[in-house]
Amino acid sequence: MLDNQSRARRNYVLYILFIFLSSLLIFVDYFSNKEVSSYIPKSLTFEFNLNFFESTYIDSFNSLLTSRAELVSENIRLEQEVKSLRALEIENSSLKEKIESFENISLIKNFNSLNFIETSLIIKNASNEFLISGGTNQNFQNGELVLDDRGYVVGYLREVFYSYSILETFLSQNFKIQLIDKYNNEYLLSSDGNQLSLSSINILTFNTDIDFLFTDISYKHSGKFPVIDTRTINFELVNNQINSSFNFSNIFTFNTQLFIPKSK
Amino acid sequence: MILLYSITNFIFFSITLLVENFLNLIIYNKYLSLSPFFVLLFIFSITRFNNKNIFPIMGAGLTYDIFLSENYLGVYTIVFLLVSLSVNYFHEKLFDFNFKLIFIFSLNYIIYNIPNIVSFNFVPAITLSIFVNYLLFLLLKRVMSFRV
Repeated sequence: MLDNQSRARRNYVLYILFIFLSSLLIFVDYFSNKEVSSYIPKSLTFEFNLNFFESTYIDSFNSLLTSRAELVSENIRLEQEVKSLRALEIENSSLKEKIESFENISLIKNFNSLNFIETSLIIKNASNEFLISGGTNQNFQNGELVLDDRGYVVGYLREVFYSYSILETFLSQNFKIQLIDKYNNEYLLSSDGNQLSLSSINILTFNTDIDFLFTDISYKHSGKFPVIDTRTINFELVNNQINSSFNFSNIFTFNTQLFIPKSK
Repeated sequence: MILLYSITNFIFFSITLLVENFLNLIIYNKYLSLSPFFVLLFIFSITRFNNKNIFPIMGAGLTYDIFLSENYLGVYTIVFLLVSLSVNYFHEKLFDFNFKLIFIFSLNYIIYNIPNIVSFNFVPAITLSIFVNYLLFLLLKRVMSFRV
């Protein structure tokens, strides 16, 4: 009985010691400016060459069958052909979808001067941040904008590692972005994790035909990518100020196609 | 043998943690998050709490800090160890009452979510999540038929 009690106490002491050890790790990481925690993700790649594996497998499978009767091999060849035709059909339909989503992005001005790198969601962590595919291996940089398939901004890259990046979206409490309209009025859009609040910083000329608010110069593509459609929210000038709170409208799901714009 | 136990548990914990994050991406609901890893940690802390679990829990925490979050290294390690310690401590030392288990479960689920406690919709989200995850725990308890 006494032995059990002392064993339990020893367990607790060890757990507490390891908690202190972990807090030491936090200090080390803090003073190394996150060099320790980002070392592995910045140098590790998670890419797998699946095509190589598949073709090797199919080739070896075919070579095994060459010794059999001609009829059997002909059947297999035909089967392979049907399979490749099916694969082509799938590829064709996915390309059609891509073309459709690229056409949707035509809302963006000077479309031709930009390259859109396609990316996708991998995982959502406990802090409502998203991990997306692609990082420094695709030349992504911190602070780059991420668009959905309609061309709206859904967030920006908070942290970029070698083969994946952390995306900050409207759902994150740290989300803050400076916006402009076509009359160069300035706004600040921030999120508390539940609602978005928009407040004006500098109003030069106010007109009722401000349809979209765009990202400003701090995100490299000034006035190009829409963030908010002002026709769908309460957007009124009161005492030369605009203060509006609204729910997220550009919610995306795990299968939404995302794009990162890059200047050519 | 201890090394094999630690490695197996570390892999098991890490996969569960990865599944938890992937599930929450698919569910995509700001008021509900499924936490199979928390349930697993809860079960481990109640039924097989010992020193051998420290390294697997630390390993899972470090994996989470390194690959899945932008927090400083060690934040989730502390959270996971603290949850494990607190679950066992309350389970062993707290006097018995009708809702003891759900009380410990809820309290530790809040500790588990400490890094997100400043979130605006924390209270409604955590209430629903505690309920759903407790149901998951009860289901697992029945399936695995362990005693707590």
